[in-house]
Amino acid sequence: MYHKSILSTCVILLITAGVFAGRYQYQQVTTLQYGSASDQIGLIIEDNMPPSGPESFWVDNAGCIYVCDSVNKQIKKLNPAGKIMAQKAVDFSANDIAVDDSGNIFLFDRSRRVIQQFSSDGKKNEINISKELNDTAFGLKIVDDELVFETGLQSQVQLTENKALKSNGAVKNGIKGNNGKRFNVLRNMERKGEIDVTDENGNIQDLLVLPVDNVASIVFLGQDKKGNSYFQVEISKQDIQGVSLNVYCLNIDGDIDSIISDIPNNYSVWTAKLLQLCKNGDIYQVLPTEENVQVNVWKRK
Amino acid sequence: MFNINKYKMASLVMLIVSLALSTVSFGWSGVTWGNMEREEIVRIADDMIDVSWRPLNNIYNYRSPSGGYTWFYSNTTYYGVAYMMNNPVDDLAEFLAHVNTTPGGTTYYGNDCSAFVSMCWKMTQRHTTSSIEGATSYVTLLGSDGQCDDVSLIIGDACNDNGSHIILFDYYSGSGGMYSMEQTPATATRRYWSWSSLASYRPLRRKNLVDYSQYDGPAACSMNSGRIDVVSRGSAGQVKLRTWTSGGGWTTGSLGGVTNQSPTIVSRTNGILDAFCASTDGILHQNHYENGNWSGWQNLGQTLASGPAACSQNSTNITIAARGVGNNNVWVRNWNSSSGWGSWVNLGGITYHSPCIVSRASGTLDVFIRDGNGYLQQNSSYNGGSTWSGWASYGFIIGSSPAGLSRSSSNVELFYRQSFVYGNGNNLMGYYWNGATGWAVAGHGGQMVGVPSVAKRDSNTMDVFVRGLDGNLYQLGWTAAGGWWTGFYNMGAY
Repeated sequence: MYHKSILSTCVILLITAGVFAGRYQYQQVTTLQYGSASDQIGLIIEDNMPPSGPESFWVDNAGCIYVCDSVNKQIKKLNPAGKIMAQKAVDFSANDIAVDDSGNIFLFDRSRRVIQQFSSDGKKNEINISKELNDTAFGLKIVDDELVFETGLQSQVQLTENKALKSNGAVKNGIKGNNGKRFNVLRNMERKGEIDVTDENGNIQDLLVLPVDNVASIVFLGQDKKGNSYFQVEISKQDIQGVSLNVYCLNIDGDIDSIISDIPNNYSVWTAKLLQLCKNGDIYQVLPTEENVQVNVWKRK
Repeated sequence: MFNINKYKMASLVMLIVSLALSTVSFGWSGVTWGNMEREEIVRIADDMIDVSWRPLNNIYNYRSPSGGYTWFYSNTTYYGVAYMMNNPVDDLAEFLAHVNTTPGGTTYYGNDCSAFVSMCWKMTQRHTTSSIEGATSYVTLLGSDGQCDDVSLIIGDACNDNGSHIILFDYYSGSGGMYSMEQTPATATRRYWSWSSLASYRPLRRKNLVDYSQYDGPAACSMNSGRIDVVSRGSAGQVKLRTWTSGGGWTTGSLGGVTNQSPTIVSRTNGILDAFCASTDGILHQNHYENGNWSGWQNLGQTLASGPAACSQNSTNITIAARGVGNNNVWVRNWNSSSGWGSWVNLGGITYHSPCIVSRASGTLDVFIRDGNGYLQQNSSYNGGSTWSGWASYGFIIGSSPAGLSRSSSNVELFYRQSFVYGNGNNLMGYYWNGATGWAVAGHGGQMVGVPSVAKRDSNTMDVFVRGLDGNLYQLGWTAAGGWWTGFYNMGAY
């Protein structure tokens, strides 16, 4: 209970910072050019209009990468090596995507407040999303083989049951991790990242504070199969404008396991997800820069 | 599989046809400049984001020269005004009239991002993302490019990417990211933004924003069932005192002093009153009434960023709450008859207004604020202020700071001005709690500005005082037996 002081974590950080970065190996999976061809991703940048490009992505457990090519109204599927294997046309601009282990593709259409399910056998199903969920939608995710919709208000709604979309489920506080744990993350008044770990009933099991100042935002990415917890942290840069993008990984005891610092974050268009955690601890990024779309991965050694 | 070549060909044909045949010319061109409230910005944005519509026929709506067209289908419900990079429609009614009667095909219905903000901000003309930062008569630059994460944005502010896109700030998520209100393809929406995606955006604020909750409000208390005392800021800044007694009715006097903020008044026991105000330089002052005499203003030596609020937990206690200087946190300070004034305690939280403090029983304190985004929040102590529960939001926006009291240990009565987000921004609203049934809301109408005030003569009687839009002071009474009085009683010039 409440045993993680900032100080102790800071000491650990200082001693082992060099080790932390070494647990990950960066690899650029591929670079995709902009355009409307089958091997390209759509981008629209014009004066005085919102830039439009790939708005979201998903990486399944086989390492295949699905990109919402919102401009070309397609879902592009890349193999783990980054080669486009297939594309699926949709008649709307998909704003977010998640894919479960059975191959069900779930797409979010914000302008219609709808989530569509495309089964691997070709069946299509859809549910309407409440205004409240539509307005606070943060990211579609698969957790324990269930589709959930996170909100920026630190809550989560379960949307599938037995691989099928159901109506809006009950809103549960906290984001689901493993073993019945739920995670609430908070940027506190001192601009530090706080993490409340609770059980399913909301009883606090642990209260952690990340040893970093000037936190601009903190997002719980999830837990890997070993129980390590991952947090996407944007940190305000000092003396210059902008933020840095980082991932902090805490081990099962709540101590720092690894840090990935200064992840490229020159996103030229709005995206629903900056990063995605896979069950094996790999961190994926689909980064739409002004020049091209970079697909990056930080592989856990 | 979608055929790219066919799509490009179709788009090209549509573009040529539309350029040749386009006779639809809307052209929102601005409104007369004036003061406006943040809530009004939000209400205009909400109207454009929350509207639902079904086009009569399939339409392909112009998006931009290279963006081509966006399809909207006749049998489908859409939410939010359609994006269109041309002349924006004059208003929501015009947009709905067109989509509800369209013969289909190529259309130019909708709005773009900078027109969306120009409309919400009631600008004199439609500014683009390239021109709005130069409109310094109307816009304050809060920082440089990439500094949206460094400044304290308030609902209705904007983040602009010169030459590209502009969004309105809605609120911060608890984890530090922000939600927007914006016009974007395909339709106007709210969505979550990370700061990484806002690296080239500059924070802006509309000038001439007014906040009716910044108007002075009265404060009231009752020392016994036959007396009410109301203090307010007079026209010369003096603390004005109105006293009602069951035998003599209302009399008006002055406690002197000069303040720029609302004063407050509290009675910890029959025969004793304490008025508090911040002097013009923000220093907290106290004026004590006992044995029929006022002491005159005494300097308590603490600089405040708001008028104070006060309550009494018991006959030997007063607790003050106020907004702190520099950090906009809420601070509280206890006084008791044996040890005098204690230290100020920082409760955190963010407010730009006076807080409200209520005691349900000795040892119990509830502080309520209108937070930086307009939401009602509460922080409670059950040991006289030694420890606090932390801030919890009620999830809805209020138009002013709340005023409150407790009629029993299981009751809290809050009053506030309704937010423009939910309707008439000048209505008095009540928000009531009792231990058995929880919270309930009620509207009381009225045309008020500022912050209301409430006093209880006994556990079955309340009197609410508000400053009217017409500049007069009004009273609304309630008894447990008879309910609310039928209307607001005009007490004359505020």
